[in-house]
Amino acid sequence: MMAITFNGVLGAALIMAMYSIVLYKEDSPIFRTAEHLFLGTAMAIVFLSVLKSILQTSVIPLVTEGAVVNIIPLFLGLALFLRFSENYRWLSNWGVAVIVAVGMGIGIRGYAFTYLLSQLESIVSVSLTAGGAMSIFNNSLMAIITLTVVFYFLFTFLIKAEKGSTPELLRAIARIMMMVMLGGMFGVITEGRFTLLAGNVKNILAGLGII
Amino acid sequence: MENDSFLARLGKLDIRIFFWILLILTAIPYVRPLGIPISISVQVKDFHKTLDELEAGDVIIMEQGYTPTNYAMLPGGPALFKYLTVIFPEEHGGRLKIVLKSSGEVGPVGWSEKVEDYFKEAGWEYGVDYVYLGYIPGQETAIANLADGVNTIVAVDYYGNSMADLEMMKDINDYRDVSAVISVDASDYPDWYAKHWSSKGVPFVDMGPGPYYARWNTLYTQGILQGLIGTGRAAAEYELLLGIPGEAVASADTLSATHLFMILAIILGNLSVIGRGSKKIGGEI
Repeated sequence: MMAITFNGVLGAALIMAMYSIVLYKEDSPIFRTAEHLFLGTAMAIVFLSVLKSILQTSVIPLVTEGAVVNIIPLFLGLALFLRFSENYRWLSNWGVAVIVAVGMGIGIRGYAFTYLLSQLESIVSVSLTAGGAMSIFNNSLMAIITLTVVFYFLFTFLIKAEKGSTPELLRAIARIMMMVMLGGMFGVITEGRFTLLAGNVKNILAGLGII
Repeated sequence: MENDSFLARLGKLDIRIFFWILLILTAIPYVRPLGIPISISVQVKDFHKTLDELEAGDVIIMEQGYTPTNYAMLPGGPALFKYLTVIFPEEHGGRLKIVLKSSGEVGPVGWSEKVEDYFKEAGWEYGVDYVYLGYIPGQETAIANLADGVNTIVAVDYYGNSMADLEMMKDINDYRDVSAVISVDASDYPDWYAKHWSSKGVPFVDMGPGPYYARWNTLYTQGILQGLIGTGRAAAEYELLLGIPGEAVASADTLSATHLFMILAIILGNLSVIGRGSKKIGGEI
């Protein structure tokens, strides 16, 4: 059992204040106070972290070591704020362009391996005969789901699915599989939210000295 | 409402009742643990195996995303830090070399508040056994460039020490000097490590929260992630695997209780819809 401290009680009170939106009333002064406190604190931390990073990586080397090239990223970063100016808004486009271009270039670099080649390889190399019964079942299911869902999203040529036809059956299977997948995703996301709730409840109980 | 059946009235209950029941059900197992047995999944075993196969002196890059906003969502964090700082050195006769960094602005808060203490209490020497680079902006760009040159994207660490003054950083140049990457976070970082580190053959394991599990499990099944602790339950499995039951195991019982309640609520909700029938009432079914 943890000792009761001011910080613990304050933390427990603020957590309950945040949950008051669903436990008590929407838009109460209690919730608003906790919400503003959280947002203000988070923004302050983010601001200070970013400021420290800019000073350490750009400003201090520029001033102390004469790294003149740092003027370029500093200018591009500050230029982003010119978006609020009618006359000089065009300067901010340079900063945005650099951010987007670098981001796209870096992002595409590893995309083909991670999301294209690896996925193709894992599907193509699936074995429908090796392993135990469960492994064969799982691999077969994966193959069926992959083929039916790919067929479902095949728009290259029109396939008329009449009632009772094979294309309609394949599309029905694909729809059911996608709904099962979405249901599974919902379940996992819900589990994650409940984990968050469990952690916060633990903090409340610990703050009040109950555990 | 007077003419509604019992089931129909059930669906019109004040939702705050359900939320209060949920809160109480979450609290009870912490006070009276249920002790529901947990089996250990293959993803968690692979997570542990990947780290266990490392040798003393190996360099690992760690994404430090264990922050105040994520403490509750990453209950396995304490177990992992204890494994890296205490259990691994005992079992392998020496320490790893760990370079930690944060892609999120709040990372340094978690570092100074909790994570750093694990290293200090275990007697690790800063600059020799571990280094914290602090918050490195740039997200995916920074992670990609880190693989090509650790010392090129940061000149100083979180404490302002120059890379040249840190003994362990002298031998770490790029991804070829790194034996594994561990990501402890609740964000998109595993996606970027998968693209720019795993693609270069560096073993990569992730500890993340439930909402991201579906995405990272896809990477795990493809073999891009070598281990995954992707949910609160998986964190409990990890603690049991290590033999140090703690926060995650305690929360496992609450997950069971709350999930059972949620199933009951879904059943009651559906029964309520059936009880009201399919007749539209003022546009509402």
